[in-house]
Amino acid sequence: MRFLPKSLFGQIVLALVAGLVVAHVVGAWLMVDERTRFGERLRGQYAAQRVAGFITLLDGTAAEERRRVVRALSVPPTRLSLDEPWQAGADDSPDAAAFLRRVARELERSAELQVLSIRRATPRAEERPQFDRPHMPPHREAHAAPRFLVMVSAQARLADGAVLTIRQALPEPARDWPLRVLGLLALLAVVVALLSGWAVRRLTRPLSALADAADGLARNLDQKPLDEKGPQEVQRAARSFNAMQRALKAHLETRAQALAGVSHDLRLPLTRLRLRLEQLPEGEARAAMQRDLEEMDAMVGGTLDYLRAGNDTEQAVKLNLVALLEGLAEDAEAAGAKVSLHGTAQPIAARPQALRRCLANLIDNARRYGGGAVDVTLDDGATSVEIRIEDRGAGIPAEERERVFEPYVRLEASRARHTGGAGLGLAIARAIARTHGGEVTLGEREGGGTTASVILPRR
Amino acid sequence: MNKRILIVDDDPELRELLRGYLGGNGFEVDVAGDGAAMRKRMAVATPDLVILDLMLPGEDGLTLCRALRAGSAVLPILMLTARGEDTDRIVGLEMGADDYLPKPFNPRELLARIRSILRRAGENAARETPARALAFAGWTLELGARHLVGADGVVVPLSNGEFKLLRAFAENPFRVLSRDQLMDVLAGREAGPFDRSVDVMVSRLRRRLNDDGREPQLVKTVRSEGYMLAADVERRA
Repeated sequence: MRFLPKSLFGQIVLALVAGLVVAHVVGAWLMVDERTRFGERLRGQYAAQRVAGFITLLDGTAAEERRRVVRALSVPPTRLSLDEPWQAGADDSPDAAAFLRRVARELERSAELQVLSIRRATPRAEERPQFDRPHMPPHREAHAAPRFLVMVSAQARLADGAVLTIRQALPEPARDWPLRVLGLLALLAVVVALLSGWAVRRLTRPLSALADAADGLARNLDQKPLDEKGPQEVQRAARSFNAMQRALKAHLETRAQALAGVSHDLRLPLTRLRLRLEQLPEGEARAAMQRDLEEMDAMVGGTLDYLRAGNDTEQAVKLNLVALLEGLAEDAEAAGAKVSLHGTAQPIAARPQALRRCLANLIDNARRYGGGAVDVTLDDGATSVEIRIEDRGAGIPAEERERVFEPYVRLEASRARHTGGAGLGLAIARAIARTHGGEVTLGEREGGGTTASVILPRR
Repeated sequence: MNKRILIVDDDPELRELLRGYLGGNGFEVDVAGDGAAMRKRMAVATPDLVILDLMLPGEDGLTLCRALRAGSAVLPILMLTARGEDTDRIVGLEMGADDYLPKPFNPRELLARIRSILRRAGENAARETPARALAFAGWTLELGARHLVGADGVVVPLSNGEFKLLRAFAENPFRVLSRDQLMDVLAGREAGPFDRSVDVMVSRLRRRLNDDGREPQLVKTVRSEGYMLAADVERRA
């Protein structure tokens, strides 16, 4: 079972080809068998006519002439004799009966006949029949000569009561495989195998596309819908899949709209609150309220940024990544970080504002939680670019590294109010990377600290 | 004489709060709830500056902005937009707004923007329509997106400092800008004290422009005076 193909394509092609081979082998065998039977019938007919002929001939021959005639006729593959007595114990097999019926049909009178035996025998050299292939070259004939003969022994009483014993050897043909027909069948098998392979590939390809689409759906709900073509069942599957994608998207959009609506509507009261605060006298309470407002503002803004990160209308352009990172490094240094930039990369297709936000969030995290020294490394490749942002901070426990990408999740240690942030920075960064077909992951940095890795495919 | 500001916003409470706040800071304030009200108020008294909310019932802010700009090339307009929506920002600038401020804004930031716009408007009374992009020597500086586009179409992002510096150069081609002037341009940066000398910033900018050979041709050093952009600049609206 280990050698069975794993893919649907392989299994269907195997089943088709195996079925085809079995059908052809059985068909060919049946055909060859039918030919053989036909040949046997012809030979039986031939032997019966010959026997009947001898009887008729000898009936009409004078007794004194018979021995000479019998001697003259007794040449391989026939032996005739007038010296044997009528034997008891005739062969009464159905083959023998059928042979006798044939002989009787050929005779002009009814004669007493019996078959002594019909058997297969290795022919003696002189019995080897030479009669039906005189045109064969000698070596070929030796090769094609039948190895077995059917020996028919029969006795007949002649009109005057003499007993004629006839031994007639019949060639049993080697199973003669008709090579041209078999070749044709083989050709047919190959052509059908190739055609069915092509057809099955066509049938299974949409299935792979469906699997790819299902994979992709988890990362990007906005991927382009499947082609709804191909055989009916495939069309239906593609239609259902596309409908599911639309439904999922609509569902998520409804929820996102609700969240966006709340965040959006909060902005007006927040603006009013800020203006009202300006009317209050300066003091500690007012400063504290202003800080609270800043925080609420950051949460609302972060939520909207996060919701927008997935469906930005910004156009992708060819972007100089080095300039982008140098600019971000400079801005981060203005905020008190020390950023070192390594490596370089060719321009890549990306949405500049979105990608800036993605990388800025990661650099900002490295600056905040990573002790201030940040290393940014560009690693250019033929199919993708990797940007690693590394710090020497306390690091993130392995089991938390995925959880921190969820919106509003902050690590306990950083939840202290003064560090700010709504816990959306990483979620936004990942959402943006994914809209670029890429990914953001967190890992441990060699020697301590965190590595944030952004991989952007070149498309 | 006090400057006159017309506020167009559909939230009456916010209008009144803004009227109180800006009024308390020495401005004459007029308010309107929508486009029709805005036109009525403008017929009564021409404002020195219009604060326009992007989201308005009926005609939205962008439509009104375009209409205002068509009527007067010099009337300063400040758009209030949704927060940080970059596309809105770019569209707003394309529609001819002088500046934008996302809600919820810090009132002091609003005040600073208003004063800055009015100062600029006073400096060049017969100024042109705000440009969307400045093109020179094969480069295009996009003012909305705040990045540079090369002749090959590759977008070169700029840091805040680089953008401000380059904008200052591109708005004053063939004019020598002193280190002090450039320092003033950069001092408006959002975070932290300015910690790099102008010279370092200029050399970074030259590298951005592939102009960092031994003899820079684009941003030229004028000995003991400052720097100058030696290129014709085309303003694209």
